[in-house]
Formats: sequence, structure tokens, C-alpha cells
Amino acid sequence: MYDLNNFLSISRVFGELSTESINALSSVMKVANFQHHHIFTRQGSTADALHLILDGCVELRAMDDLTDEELEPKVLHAGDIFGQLALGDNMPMEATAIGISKTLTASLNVEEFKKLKLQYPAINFSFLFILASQMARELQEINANSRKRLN
Amino acid sequence: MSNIEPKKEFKIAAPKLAESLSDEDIDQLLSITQRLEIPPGRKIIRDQQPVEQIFIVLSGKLNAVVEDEAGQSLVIGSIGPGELIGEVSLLSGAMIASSSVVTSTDVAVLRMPHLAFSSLMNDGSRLSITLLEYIVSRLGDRLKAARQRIKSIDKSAIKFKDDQSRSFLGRLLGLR
Repeated sequence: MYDLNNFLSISRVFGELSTESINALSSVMKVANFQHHHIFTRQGSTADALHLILDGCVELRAMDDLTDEELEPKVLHAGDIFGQLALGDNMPMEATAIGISKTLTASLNVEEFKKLKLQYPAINFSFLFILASQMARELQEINANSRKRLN
Repeated sequence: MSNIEPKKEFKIAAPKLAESLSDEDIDQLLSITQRLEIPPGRKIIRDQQPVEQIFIVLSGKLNAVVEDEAGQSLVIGSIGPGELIGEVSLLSGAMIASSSVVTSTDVAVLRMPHLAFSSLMNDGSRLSITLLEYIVSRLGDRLKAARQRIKSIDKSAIKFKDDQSRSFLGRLLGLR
């Protein structure tokens, strides 16, 4: 049995939550093993869960919509999360997430999250902050790209 | 100065946010903000410069503009009542503006220093959660619009290149 409580309590993303919130979160997250090359999400699709990597590596691969050229991939490691846009406003996934090793993840389904956030405002707040930060970074990147196009 | 009572003015400007807040929450928000009236043509945030405050637009219109070092600029969005300004730089952690924001009409805003916003985000109150939910929803809309805008710019650039190629090929082949 994996000690998810311990992992969550020392993780960068969830470490500041109270013990009660961590217990609640770990009770609804599903821990699962995946084979090398497992595809968790596909670019453009609407994801249905947030995934926390407990062990192994996942690569985020994205194609440029117009040129079909592959953008520089990003490798995520234990403690990193992906699919968090699933918890927001049905935002399409910006990248395809593929396991580049055997991976162990804890996943939080959107429906479970909806129930959880009503009961634990602190969990809701943490996820909202993660989501807002990611969206803000993406908007800044888009603005920076728009600036480059001026040249 | 506006003749409208501040709470009422806020409810009219940001009805979606206001309907999720109690009167006490709105009073709390108004108590940590300052109402300002700004004439047209004023730059309230400068591209690539530090941002030290967040604004909630009560009335009027503003433009978000990206600028390069040569002074060229491109309007990337229009901002109206109920929208927030300046929160992106804080939430991204960059603390630097990624666009300028310029008033295009007379504008009224609520100004909140970053420190007040940070304190609010750390107090765990209903106001903080509701405001953050609202910010996520607005950022989602802006992100969708920005992605769409980038695609349309790219498509028009490609079309422009295609048109140039066609006219070059046309000249080569003696076509019109």
C-alpha cells in the first residue's frame, strides 16, 4: 500500500495543506502504475483528471497547431503535476502527456474534485491558485510571442 | 466623483463576482481598495515594467498593448467593467507586466496594492476564494481569446505569404 499521505504532506504543491485536507485528498486520489509509453492525455482533448507523479517520468509533447512542428518537450518528474486544467473551465489540454518510463501516479478525478472542494475550501483554494498561476504564465508567454511578432 | 453608492457601482460593474459575495465581503473588498477616476490616454501599466497594484475596472474601456523596443505596438485586447488588470504578473510570479494597459475612455477603477492582494489571498476567507474563482474564470476566457487571436494572426500571416507567393508565381507564369 503506497503512503500517499506522506508524499502529499512533503510535496511542493500540496505540502502546505492541513493534515485534514491531505487525508481528504489522499482518500479520493487513485494510485496506479502505468507502463512505459502510456498516454495519459492528448493535446486538444478535454482531460478528466489531474495527475500527480509519484515515481517515474512523464513527457509533455505539443505540436504547433499550424505548422505541425513538434515544440520542445518538457519532462516532468516525481512531485510534478499535469492535467490540472481539467479542474478548471473545460480547458483543452495544451500537450500530450506520455510516460517515458514506468510511472506511478495519483490521480484526482474532476467529479471527485467537485465534491471535495465544497467540503474543503483550503483544497479548493490550493487548486485554484495552481490553476491561476499556470494560466497567468501561459498568458504572459502568449503576450511575449505577440511582442516578438512585431519585429 | 461618481454619484453612485460604491457598493452599487461595484455590483453593476462586476455582477458575476458580486452575486457570489455577501454585502460584508463587498465592504471588505472596498475597504482594501481605492477608487480612482482616470482620463483617456493614460498608461496605467507599462509593458515590461514592475507591477505593484491590481485594478478592478468599474467603468470605461482600456486597451492591452504589447510594445517592442523600437516603439512598435500591437493592441492585443480590450478591457471593460468587471475585468481585473495586473493580476497576471502577480500570479505568474514574474511581477513584470507582459503588456501595457492604456485607458481609451474615461475610466473608473478600484486600485488594490499587491501587498493587500497577497494578504487577502493568504487569509483563507470566503472573499479570497470567491475572488480567486472569479480570476480563474476570467483568465480562462482571456486564454481562450488569446489562443484564438494567435491562430488568426498566424493564419493571416500565412495567407499574406501565400498571396505573395501566388503573385510571384503569377508574374513568372504571366498570369494575373
